[in-house]
Amino acid sequence: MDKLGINPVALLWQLIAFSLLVFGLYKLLYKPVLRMLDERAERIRKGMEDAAKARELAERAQEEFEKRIAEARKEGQEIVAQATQMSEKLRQEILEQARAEAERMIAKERERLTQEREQAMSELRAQVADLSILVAQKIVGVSLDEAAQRKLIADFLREAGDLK
Amino acid sequence: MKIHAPLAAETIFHLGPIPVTNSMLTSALVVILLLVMAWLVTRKMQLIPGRYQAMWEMVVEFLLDLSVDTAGKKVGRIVFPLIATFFIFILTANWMGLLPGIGPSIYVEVAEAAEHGTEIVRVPLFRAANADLNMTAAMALLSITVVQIAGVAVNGVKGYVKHLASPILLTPVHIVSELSHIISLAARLFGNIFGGEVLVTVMYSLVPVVVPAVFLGLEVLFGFIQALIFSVLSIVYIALATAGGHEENGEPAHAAAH
Repeated sequence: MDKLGINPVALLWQLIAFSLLVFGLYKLLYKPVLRMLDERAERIRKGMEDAAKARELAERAQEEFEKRIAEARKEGQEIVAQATQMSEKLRQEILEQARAEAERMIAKERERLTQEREQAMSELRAQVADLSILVAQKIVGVSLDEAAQRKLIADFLREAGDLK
Repeated sequence: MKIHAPLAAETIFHLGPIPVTNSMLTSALVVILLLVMAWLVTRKMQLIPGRYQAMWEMVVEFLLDLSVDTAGKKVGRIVFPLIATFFIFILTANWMGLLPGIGPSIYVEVAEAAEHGTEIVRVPLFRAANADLNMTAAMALLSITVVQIAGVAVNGVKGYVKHLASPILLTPVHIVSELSHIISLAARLFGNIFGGEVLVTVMYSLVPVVVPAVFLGLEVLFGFIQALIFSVLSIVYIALATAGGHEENGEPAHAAAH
């Protein structure tokens, strides 16, 4: 034993030194390093979870966005279609109105013309009667009394009208 | 040429009643160095590690994996500080022993008791810590003691005794086997490091250039291998001592049948 250099004091010294190192490294190295490793693993796990969550959220938002866009497009199309329809209806109405107005005006004008013609005719008729009497007087030289003449002419004209 | 390579560590001075040897100095130096290094790593730990922190994290994780993979999650985690310290201390001590200044390079003169009065002898100031049987025996004793404690803790006193005495006739063999583990662990490490030191010293005296460098390179490798062997064997012994408990817990019917 002595030849090998083993002596209790040295053995104890080395044992204490080594035990001190075990304790010291446990406090100073293993514990903090393992805590850090665990913390980092936890962080990474959480980070990955968060990333997955965020991706899901983004996907959902994208979906929502697309849905909204589609809805808006549909709505827009509906509005345009409605407006087109309405304007068409309005056009038809205005056209109808214009046509009716025109017809009404034409009818009114025609009536006025008829009235005027009738008036002119009756005037003409009166004048023709006067003229006829005058001519007859000139030719016959005698004058019938005016009332009889007028009756005669009226009869004649009626006949003529009937003939026509 | 006479090469002086004593097996025993030389006493440098006395600290009160304690004779302080050169290997005790070195081991104290290694302990202080490692504690300072550890303090430097964990003083301000970063979530995003620098290179120094990353290296230590790698070492710690490697040793934790070694413990847990061999002895199971529960036991492995408990004995991990011991196993890891075996590895880190032995590796550091071995590699430090290769540095100039440690081993036969810086000498001090001390008085030594001789046959006729005292004699002044030149001894190296520092001696590789594991080139002293006291160091390796201390660690081996600690290792095997922890093996027995782990065995009792996991299997209970009854289980531990049964493990040691099955069959009854082989009980002495088991006890000798446990004790031999201490000797084998201590002697293997001491022999490798002391032998390596002597080898390098011999090479220096034979061919002072180039050749010793080759052997120093080999010593770097051996230093690592010995650190690994010591810690792996320790955790394997612990795993063997605690394995019985797992079996019994797994098969209560089988245990009851005995």
